[in-house]
Amino acid sequence: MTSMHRGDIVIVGAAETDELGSLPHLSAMELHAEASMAALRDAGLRPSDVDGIAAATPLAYEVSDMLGIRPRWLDGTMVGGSSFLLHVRHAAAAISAGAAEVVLVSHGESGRSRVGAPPWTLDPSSMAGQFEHPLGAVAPYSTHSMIVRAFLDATGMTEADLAGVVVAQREWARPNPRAARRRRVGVQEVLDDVMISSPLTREMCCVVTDGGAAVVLTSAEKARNLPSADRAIHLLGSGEAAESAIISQMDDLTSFGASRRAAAEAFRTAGLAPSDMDHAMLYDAFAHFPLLALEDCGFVERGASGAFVADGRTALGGPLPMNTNGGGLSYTHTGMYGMFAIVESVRQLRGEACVQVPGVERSFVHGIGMMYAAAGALILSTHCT
Amino acid sequence: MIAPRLPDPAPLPTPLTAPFWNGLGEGRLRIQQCDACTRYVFYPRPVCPFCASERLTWRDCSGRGSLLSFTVNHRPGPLFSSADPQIIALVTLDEGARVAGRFHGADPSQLRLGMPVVAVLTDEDSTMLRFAPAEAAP
Repeated sequence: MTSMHRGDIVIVGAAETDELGSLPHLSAMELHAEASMAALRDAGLRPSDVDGIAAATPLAYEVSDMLGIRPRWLDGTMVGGSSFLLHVRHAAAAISAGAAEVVLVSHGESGRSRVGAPPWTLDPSSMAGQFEHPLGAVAPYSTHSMIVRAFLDATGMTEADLAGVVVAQREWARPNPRAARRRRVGVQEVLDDVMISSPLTREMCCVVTDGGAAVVLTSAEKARNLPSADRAIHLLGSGEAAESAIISQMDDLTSFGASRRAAAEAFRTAGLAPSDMDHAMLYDAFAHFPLLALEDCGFVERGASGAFVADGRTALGGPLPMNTNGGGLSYTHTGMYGMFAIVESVRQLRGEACVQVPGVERSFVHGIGMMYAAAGALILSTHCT
Repeated sequence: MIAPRLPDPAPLPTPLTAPFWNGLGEGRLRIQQCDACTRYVFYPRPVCPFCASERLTWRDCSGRGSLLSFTVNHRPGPLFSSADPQIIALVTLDEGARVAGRFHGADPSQLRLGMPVVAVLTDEDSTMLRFAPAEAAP
């Protein structure tokens, strides 16, 4: 009997597009195709081996058909940047149930150049379109910034704690030639940068890029016969949750319930605790995200996240190396970042990361999506325990 | 010659939300109250999210509340006709519901979380809820 968790399902292929950044010569679908073909090569598989497909945008059937795949299982769950964590979780369920054998989870997004991507449109009858957009809360920076003041006030933190996240993640990005922002910055420089939507300065906002990434999942049993067998990464646990459809109605502006519930289920299904993790990828479109997530996922006590980062606890050599590619703030952020967090986790576990943390055996991946509407969490491991 | 441009983003009411927007156009702040559990509910819903009652009644609210959080958006972006910073506020109404609104007549440096605020209700603009510090209210 194959289980959804506890290591029976593995990631056998993981890859990003060769280039990330400004790629006006590639459409969103080409980014999908390049990343997916690279992930399949990494696994030692071909499109004809794939019988399950998951994608957010373009739609799953459009991606599978572009690759000549005839899937018997599809997942089009769309919860923004966290979509891919949910896809991995759903793929594990499908493989364990026998509904699919090899699942390709693909992401390609021309987030900067908008090539082969639909134009940005607003739905003025949606709840956000009626009750947030007219106020100016349209762009993610002005929408997310609505809650930051409340979070800082409730936890006793300041803007310097936000800047500390930027500084810490930049140190990870500096040696990484694939990262978009690599210049060293200090706390004061981040605070003094151009104000975008208070208290978020430009450096506290993610980069906006083009790129693609993909992973391939199958059962540990099938993986034994693949050329990638010795590099398979096991899924130990996972969780997902959704909350308010618009950020201004989050149950608690200072702690995201969907993150708390998704992380708790991931740890419960894995039979592990936050202290068992060697590495974490906590979604970071803006500087306050990792602070909320460190607290919501149970890595630190309420209000302790700012000091945790500022004291170097998430840096190389610290107990919880976090966002080790530089994150959305410094590495890349196509609009929906979650797949890049998963791929970095796989690279760290395989020992293939650009800035490698020694001895990573268990990694926690967290994602949020559609502002603070949904969250996902994965626990990945080099071993089946 | 200045090129014509689209109007600022404005709400398109649905049958579910029309009472809120019609009320605002008449200078009234109307929020649903659950007949069963008596809690105020926002955004508008056909089902009470707290107790699942399907009986909700639109009530006139005082417009008074306290400032829960805010941002000064210095980059309104190309969708807005003015590049002036927008103060976007989250307010807990005295009736208990939380709403978002645009702040007017305030110096951002004078804003404090928890300070009393009041909705600016006129019948001149029904595209968004507006707030002002309670002291400065007319």
